[in-house]
Amino acid sequence: MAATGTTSKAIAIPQRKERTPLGDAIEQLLKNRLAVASGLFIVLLILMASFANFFNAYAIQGFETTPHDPYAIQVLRDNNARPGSTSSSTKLEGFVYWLGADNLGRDLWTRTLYGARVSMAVAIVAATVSLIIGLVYGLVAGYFGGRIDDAMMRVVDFMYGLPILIVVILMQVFFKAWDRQEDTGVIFGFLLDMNQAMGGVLFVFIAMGALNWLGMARIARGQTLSIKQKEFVEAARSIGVSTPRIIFRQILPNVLGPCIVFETLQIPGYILTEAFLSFIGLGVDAPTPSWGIMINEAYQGLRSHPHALIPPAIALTVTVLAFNFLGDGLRDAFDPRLRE
Amino acid sequence: MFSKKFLAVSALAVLLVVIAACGGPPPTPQTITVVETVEVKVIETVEVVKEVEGETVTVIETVEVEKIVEVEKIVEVEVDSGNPDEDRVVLDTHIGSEPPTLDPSLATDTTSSFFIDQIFMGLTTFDDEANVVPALATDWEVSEDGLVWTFNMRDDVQWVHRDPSNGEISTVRPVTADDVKFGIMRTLNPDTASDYAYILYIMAGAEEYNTADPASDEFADFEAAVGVEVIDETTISITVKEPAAYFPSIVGQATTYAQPSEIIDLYGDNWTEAGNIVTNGPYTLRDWLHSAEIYIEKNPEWIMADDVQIEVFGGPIIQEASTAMAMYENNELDTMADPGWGPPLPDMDRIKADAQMSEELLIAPRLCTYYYGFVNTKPPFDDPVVRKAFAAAMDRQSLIEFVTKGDQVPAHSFAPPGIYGNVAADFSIGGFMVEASYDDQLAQAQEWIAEAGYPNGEGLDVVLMHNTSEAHAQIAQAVQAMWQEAFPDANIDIENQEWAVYLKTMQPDTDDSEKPNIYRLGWCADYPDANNWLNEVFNSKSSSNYARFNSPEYDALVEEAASVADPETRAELYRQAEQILIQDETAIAPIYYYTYVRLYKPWVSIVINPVGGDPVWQWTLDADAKASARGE
Repeated sequence: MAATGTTSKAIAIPQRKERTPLGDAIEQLLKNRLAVASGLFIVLLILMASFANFFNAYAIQGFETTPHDPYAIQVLRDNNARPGSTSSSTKLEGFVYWLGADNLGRDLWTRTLYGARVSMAVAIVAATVSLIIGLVYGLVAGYFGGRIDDAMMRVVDFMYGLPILIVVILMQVFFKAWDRQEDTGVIFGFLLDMNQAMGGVLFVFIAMGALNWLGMARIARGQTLSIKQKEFVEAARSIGVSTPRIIFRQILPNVLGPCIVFETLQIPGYILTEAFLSFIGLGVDAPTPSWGIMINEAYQGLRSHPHALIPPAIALTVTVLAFNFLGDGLRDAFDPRLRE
Repeated sequence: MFSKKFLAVSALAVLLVVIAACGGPPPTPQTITVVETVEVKVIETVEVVKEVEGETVTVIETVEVEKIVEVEKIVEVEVDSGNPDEDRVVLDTHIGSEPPTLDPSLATDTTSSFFIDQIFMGLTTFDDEANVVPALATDWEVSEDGLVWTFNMRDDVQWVHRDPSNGEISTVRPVTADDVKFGIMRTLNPDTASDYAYILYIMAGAEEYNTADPASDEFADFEAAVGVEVIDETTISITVKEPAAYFPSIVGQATTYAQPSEIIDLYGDNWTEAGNIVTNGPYTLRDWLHSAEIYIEKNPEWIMADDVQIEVFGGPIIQEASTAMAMYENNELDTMADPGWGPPLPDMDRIKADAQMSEELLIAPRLCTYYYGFVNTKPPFDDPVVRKAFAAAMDRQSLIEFVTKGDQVPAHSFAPPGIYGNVAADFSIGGFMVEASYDDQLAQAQEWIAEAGYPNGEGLDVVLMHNTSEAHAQIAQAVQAMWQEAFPDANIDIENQEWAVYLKTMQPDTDDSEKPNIYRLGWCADYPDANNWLNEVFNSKSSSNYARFNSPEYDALVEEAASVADPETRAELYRQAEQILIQDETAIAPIYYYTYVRLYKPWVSIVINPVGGDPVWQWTLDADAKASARGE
């Protein structure tokens, strides 16, 4: 009897897989083909951008470019070369411009690839900065509540009133002027060196991250307000767990999901802002390529050389779409109401 | 997504511009609906009470009377399309940027100067071979010591005013010698703050007056000491500091143009607005809608008005060369030329390959030099060897052939061919910048940079700055790549600033820490004499000396050249000055001598002066050909 009873129980329990919210979400996400394809595309893009030294047209076709950066290699004679044409330079004999060359004779495949670096770096850095600031701010405001919450959220309300793009532009103008000062001190000197190494966009990243955490803070606060009422938080508090530990070990894991979803949907905005700043000449410094700069250069000659516009425009469009699809997929995956 | 948005925006901009540009292109009558009040006769029936006298009987009679009443009626009327340019010869052009001013004393840029030269006239002007010819002056003579110039003026040039309410152009009064004196004195007055006042420093007392403190007690004395004297209504004499053979070309400069004192007193800074301004040139200002459009109209009272064929000239302000190019190809614009954009660089290949457009392309020498200046006081460019290395490591020929594409000429001197005193034929000066083989030039540059202590450019961290413009950006990137090729370990950054900010950054008195190491600039002749180049730009006292080049020996040479009359001596002095500026010190790296690169529709025939610019009044336009091309 006892044995039979045990057996039936034993059959009933292991049949059901152990389910966690995260596991459910991943399972749900994997069912969304568009989101999976977008995710794969983004991973591939990040890999190719990170290893652009190996994936640029010169490296693949076996041409040595050192000590110059491949994206800056210019053969003036090959200006506006059509896709598939061969270089006329003796140093680059037999080199094929797969996607053509721009108006200074620079390979478009290589420049688009290096342009992805800037876009991906913006996506990752700005998203991380804004996620961290916004999360911590929202958690603290939501958890303590009362006057602290009021004061902190009024600051957010105030900052919402700032025209973010204009502030970013002003900061960029300021930092560019500052860059020319000779005596800048150790910390700023280091930042400026970093900035130079990144083609002059470090401050764009920082400015965008530093101004875009407001929405994140509101979401994190809202989630915290509801989660802090839950029994497990009460329990933790009653056995004397320290406040930071409650916030970061008990509450944070539970608000992280919606916040990541929110941030993923912000990324296309960052990429477009960077492209826009570069388009109007406030982004990366030439000759570092960025999709915005490439589009700016190409559209001037649109009537004569339309081929130069295609690679950066498609890259930008597809990347932005991919982040949007992935964000949508994540949102659906984390939404329990949409679960079967 | 992003690009689409931008295309849509620019398409919208084009559309708006087109709408703004067309003053109603097909002159067909239009029908519009208006509500009109008309008087109508109506017959009304009224009851009249008649009392017959003497009787107590009251009769009520019904009679019909005629009455006039006012009724509102909707009618359709045919109206003229309202295009004032119908049946007039109109040249449709575009303007590249809003001219900062139309005040002859204040203009420094080419757009402003273009319009000023159409609506005002100087004592002298230049013909199409850059010779000084009479304009407002009929003739002039100089005293034996070469110090006093006396100009006899025409008495039949009128100030005209266009009444914006009815478009009528009427004469105000004749232009007199007092107006010329007023113009010169106004330019020199420190309160006017003219950037080009220094051009007049050759006049006795001019520099002292221009640099005097307006609040000081002696200010009136400085003013009285300026050597400009009105002899009678049509004679003016000007005393100069030292004999200057080029002086007649100075009085062809906008800074010396006659100005109407009563209008300037009346309107102050707004005297150049359409409706306020009075002018004395072949054209007068019709419309100046700021940041939108400018039109000038033929002055029928001008001395040679009978020879002026084009009656209206102007168009919208278009910020993008590519937008203007699209309109040009669509026959909406007659020119891709000053005061607007030339053909955009990316389209040059297509224009040259196109059977029709290659015919429309005009390439002609122009008295301008495009150069990169080094801030001579800022390391590492305080070392002439570094400057020489950078100047040598530029493949000017490739740059012209594959980037600028306008048949420009590689430059190795500051003053271009055509300027009196130029050394463009002497390759002992700056020859190292234009070697037959670029590889030799490159090897020399690398040798110099190593000699200066920066082998392979190691340790060099320089900023190249240009004013914001797609064409300058292209050249800067091409040159940067050449430098990077020559000095692989150097760090060379490119930055750009808007024109107004850029000029402020580059002022000689701006602190070096705010300046880049290398800057870009072009210089165009105000008059075809090396004095305008070597003395007025790189004299250590010049406000245009953005390179902060300071050589007492050089200053002495150019100042001496300004004061001697003998042409051969002057030429030799200018040769020595160029030798110092370019060969010995290499304060700047000349890149190319400009050409005019322009497109004109086949129905426009033009005259270009290498110095004076574009005398639109001498142009002609075949209105029938234009109309048929536009399908009207």
